[in-house]
Amino acid sequence: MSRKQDIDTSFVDDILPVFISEANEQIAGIEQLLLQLEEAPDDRELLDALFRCAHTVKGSAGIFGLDAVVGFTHHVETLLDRLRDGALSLTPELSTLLLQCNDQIRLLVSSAGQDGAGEHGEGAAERAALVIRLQAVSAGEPAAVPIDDVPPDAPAVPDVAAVVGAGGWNVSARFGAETFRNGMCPLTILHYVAGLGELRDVVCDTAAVPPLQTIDPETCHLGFAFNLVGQINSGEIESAFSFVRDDLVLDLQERANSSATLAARIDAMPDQPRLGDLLVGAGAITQVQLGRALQQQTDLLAQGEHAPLIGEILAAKTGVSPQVVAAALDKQQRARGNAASGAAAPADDNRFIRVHADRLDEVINLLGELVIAGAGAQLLARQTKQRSLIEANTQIGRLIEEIRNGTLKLRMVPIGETFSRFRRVVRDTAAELGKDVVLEIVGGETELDKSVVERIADPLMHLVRNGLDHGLEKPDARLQAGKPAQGKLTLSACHESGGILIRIQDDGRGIARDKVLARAWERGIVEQGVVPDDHDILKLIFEPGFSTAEAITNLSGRGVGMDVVRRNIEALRGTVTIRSTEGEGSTIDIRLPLTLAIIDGFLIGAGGTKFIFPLEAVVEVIEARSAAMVADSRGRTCVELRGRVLPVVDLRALYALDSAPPPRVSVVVINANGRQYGVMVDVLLGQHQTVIKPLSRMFRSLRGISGSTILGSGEVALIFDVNSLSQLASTDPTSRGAAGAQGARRSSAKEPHA
Amino acid sequence: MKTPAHPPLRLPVELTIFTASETRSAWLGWMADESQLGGAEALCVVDAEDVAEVDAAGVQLLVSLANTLAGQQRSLQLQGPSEALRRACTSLGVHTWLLQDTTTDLESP
Repeated sequence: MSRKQDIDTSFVDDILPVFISEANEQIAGIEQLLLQLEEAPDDRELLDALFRCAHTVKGSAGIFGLDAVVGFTHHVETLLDRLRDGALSLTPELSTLLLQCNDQIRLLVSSAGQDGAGEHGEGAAERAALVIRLQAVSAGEPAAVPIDDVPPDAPAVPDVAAVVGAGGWNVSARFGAETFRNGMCPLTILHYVAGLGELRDVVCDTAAVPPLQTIDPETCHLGFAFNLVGQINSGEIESAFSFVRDDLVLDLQERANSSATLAARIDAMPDQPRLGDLLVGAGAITQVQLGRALQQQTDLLAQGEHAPLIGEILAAKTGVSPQVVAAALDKQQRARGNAASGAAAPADDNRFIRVHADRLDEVINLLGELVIAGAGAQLLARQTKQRSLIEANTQIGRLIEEIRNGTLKLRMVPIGETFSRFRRVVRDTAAELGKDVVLEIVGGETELDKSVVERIADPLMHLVRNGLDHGLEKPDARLQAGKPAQGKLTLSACHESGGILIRIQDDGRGIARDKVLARAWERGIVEQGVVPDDHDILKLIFEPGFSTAEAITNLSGRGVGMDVVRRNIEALRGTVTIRSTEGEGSTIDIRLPLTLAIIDGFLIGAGGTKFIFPLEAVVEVIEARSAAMVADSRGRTCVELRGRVLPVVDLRALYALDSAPPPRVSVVVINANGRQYGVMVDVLLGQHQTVIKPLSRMFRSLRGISGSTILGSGEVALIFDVNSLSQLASTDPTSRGAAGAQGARRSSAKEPHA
Repeated sequence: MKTPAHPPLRLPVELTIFTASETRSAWLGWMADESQLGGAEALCVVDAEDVAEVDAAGVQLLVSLANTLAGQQRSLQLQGPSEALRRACTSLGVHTWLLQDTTTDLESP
């Protein structure tokens, strides 16, 4: 045995200087950080770094058995932990105290391993005094040197990051198999824990220890359960086990904490979106328990089994009472309700990372290039006809798609924030107009791309104002009409078949068709006497220069609004439609794509050029003989589809594509704006993940095309704007001609000479 | 006549992770010898005076020994446990089990 001790000592002698120098680095770091923090006492990153330095010193000292260093640093570390959790703030006095403590740590480290050093060595008295002060600060006393009274039993500053278990804790700890081999000893750790409070009723799970014949003596089979009594928070207990955390199975349960207490605590907490976080914050479960429950849920899902709700798993595994889970669920619902209705829900700061939007855009750009490059590689792979290569590329393609979806999600924000800004607008505007209006918001948690949210805010604002101004009547008019005096304006958002539907609905007077028509005739937007069908009358509102308001108010009626609104929405590749019932109200539907950058496309070829349809707009494809499809001079024709007439556009004629059509052509049936039409194409080339590259300004007035993309072969394909293409298919030649001419005039007026 | 009793097992001075492996081998050897000599008593007395250094691995080994004996319908009795061992067992919650009967009686050989 003594020989072993000699070996150990020499080993320690060799390595100890390394420890001392590394520890000194950490100690220097602590001092630097404390000085930096004096300028920025709330800087979370600095506080984290500060804690980590102390933690490292303590841990390394522990490995060398330098109990004095460990013991003293532990007290400092405890305080630093509370600092970084925000339970304490770094006052100048506290900063001074910590600097003094740091000096003592330095002293202890430098005398480490020397005889006579340690707890009773030089500076012991100062250290003892510092420890008392550290503990006083933790208990809520100011950090300045106290007079010699016993500090009162001030309760710790309440916070939800770490819960103080007044009744003590039931702790169960099962140490991992590698504990001994990692140099840790449960005995030491339990001694630590004993230092936190009163350790009682320690029970060891002896049955888990195998008999001599089979046991590997260097594998740890030990598990313990015990009670820890005292004013201790869960974080302290967990940190006592921090060096074995990876291997350990730790369970903490507050003793004698009734479900009612926990439920009340949950209620008082700030809004947290996740059930698990609520329960951890209230002290019903520990972070570790939550992690395990989540892992279990994930594993079950991965196995394709039905995974129970996280609340169920926690109730089963950790013994948190159903009443507490119910309280947390309730709180979560209310928090969600708050978020939906836009009440100020404090952001869950800990879970978020601030990222510069430009960086995200860069990544998404690169992702777009990756999609294109992947398509190119896929093409080449197909040409080699090597199965394994094709499979590998397909796999890559799948992964790219997943990354694409994930990355695009990064830019998603809930629309509720934008919606809730309107509450104020509605309130003020309604008051100004002498109207009584309530704004209802539904689906605020619906997420869309950040840039879409930003760009939709103004059009929405205009539409809301319009509704308030023109749509909703004054209270007496409403009462006369048999409606409640208070008008209702509803803003709702939901996901709908790959896009977002934003709806603005009012229960006002609806749109008066005759007035609209009269104004349209007046302005020459529609030929005098021509009565378009209802759907088109309503769309006239979006025509430039249109307004039926007799009095132009501050808010609306200048006639520039609705036109701009529609253009803004169409610039987002969205559509806007109106439905209205006179006397009952109007509904405006805005449909937007989820993302502007990448879409699923349907690739076709016509006349040697490739085009892409947004896949969501494609309904079906039918075959026809090209001889049977005779197009008029504008490239329009029609075909019979299940008893109905389907207008069809011939791309050749439309875009003056040279080349003879093949004997059999396909007609792609497209759904746009609630209507169907067909597009005649030569060849179908299948589904294609399309990275949208915007058209340059030169091509903006090109009807029917909204963007371009690069195919795997390097060719450029043009992306259809199915809405304007539909107009080309269905509008009657005269107005189309006029509109086309108008378009030409406008564009030549705007564009500078190339 | 009574068969000569196998000398009781003595716990080593150092009962830690560092000696765990060799201690286990020693104990297995002791038990093998004991069963060969046929002197296995229901109460297995183990001399615990010498233990000066002990850690959790050491206590675990002791627990393992007790489990092994229990499998043979025997029980372990630690005789004259040193202060170090006593403290360690208490900290690790095995004192009631391993230290219940700390009479200094020795079965007369």
